[in-house]
Amino acid sequence: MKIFRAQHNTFSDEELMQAISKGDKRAFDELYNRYAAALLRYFMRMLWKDREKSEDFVHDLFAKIVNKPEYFDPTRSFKTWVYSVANNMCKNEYKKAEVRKGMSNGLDNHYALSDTSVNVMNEVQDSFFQEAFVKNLAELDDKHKEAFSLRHIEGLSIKEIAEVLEINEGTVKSRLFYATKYLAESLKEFNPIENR
Amino acid sequence: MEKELVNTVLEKEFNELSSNERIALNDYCSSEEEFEQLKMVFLSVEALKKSETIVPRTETKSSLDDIFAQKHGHKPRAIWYNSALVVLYPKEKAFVKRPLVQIAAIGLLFLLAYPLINSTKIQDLTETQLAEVKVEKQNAKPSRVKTSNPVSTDSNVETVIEPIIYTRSEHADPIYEEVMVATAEMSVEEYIPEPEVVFAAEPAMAERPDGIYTGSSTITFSQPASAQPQVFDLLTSTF
Repeated sequence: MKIFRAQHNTFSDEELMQAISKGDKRAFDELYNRYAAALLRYFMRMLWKDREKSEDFVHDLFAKIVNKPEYFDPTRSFKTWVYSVANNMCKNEYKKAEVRKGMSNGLDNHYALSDTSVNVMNEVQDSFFQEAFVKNLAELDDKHKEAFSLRHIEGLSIKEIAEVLEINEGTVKSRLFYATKYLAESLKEFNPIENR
Repeated sequence: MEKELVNTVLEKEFNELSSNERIALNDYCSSEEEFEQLKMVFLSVEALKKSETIVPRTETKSSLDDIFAQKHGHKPRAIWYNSALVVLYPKEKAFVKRPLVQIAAIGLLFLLAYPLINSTKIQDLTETQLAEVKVEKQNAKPSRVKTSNPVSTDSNVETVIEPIIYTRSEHADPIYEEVMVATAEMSVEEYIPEPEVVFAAEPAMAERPDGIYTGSSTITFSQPASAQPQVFDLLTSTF
């Protein structure tokens, strides 16, 4: 009989996954607390700031973790695995959106939709500059956007991004470079030196 | 871009960059203008990270909990002390209404009252012990049984117990007290009976109002004048 509770907050993600596969509810709670909010924000960025869809995606992702924990390879990093799953979910959604809209790239169309819905950034910070950044980030090509988000917002390393996106590190660096240059160029109008 | 370079862009101005840093950043920015644009990108990223405070809804979590319960086919394992605490320390009840608090309060009261209860018991015990000791003493007193024939060998002859009757005169031994008088030649022994004889006519005062002194143990009193003819004559003499 366990007298004292195991300190799940000291467990690594991989250990928590092993515990989840054995039916440890508190391990699942701990993992959810670690990743749910970050994944929701990631989905929000990748899915045109659609809150409902992002919530559904978070739910579906964790449901997969509960129902199919064996899909996770314990020798791999959980973080890269969960982001690769999330990224694949987003890609699938892009494909579905393309089919639904009959468009080759439905990204711009979706962004227009997000303009009419509640803009989270507007709620938090009423800043044109910030808005412009978010807008330009959303307008960025998927592959560049995901690389930039994973690197600079989620904090993954180049190697981890390469694992998540299943590309080599050189390609990751190239995409990051392009995304950074694109965003810097798009924010030119807010440059104080430019406006002198 | 490496994290160190991002920090460099965020923390430094273009003219503060070292040659090595400029070389490292050369691909991204070659002029101050490009450097400032790059800085704005990273400042925006930092602001975005800080502003993103959204968290998943509770419905999402509760739905996942249901899925987890269905998958593993059991409710979360109850730990014995948790269930005991639910009964003894229900958080939904007011603090004073929680059984554990009430039990603790009773325990504390008992602890505080114990010395008082114990002292009463000791008092009772001492009283009973005293009574027992008295009884024992009474029993332990020699009965002073005298047999008519203590060395009688005849078993048929019953010994007659004759209780000794003490008379007052026998029991109260006279007490002699030496009284010092003014003259050195005389010494008078006074007889003081014990116990003290109290006459009905005697007032409860040592010093009588008629001027006759009565000592604490020696009681003297004046005789009526009729009993003393000399005094009577003196009183009734006519001039």
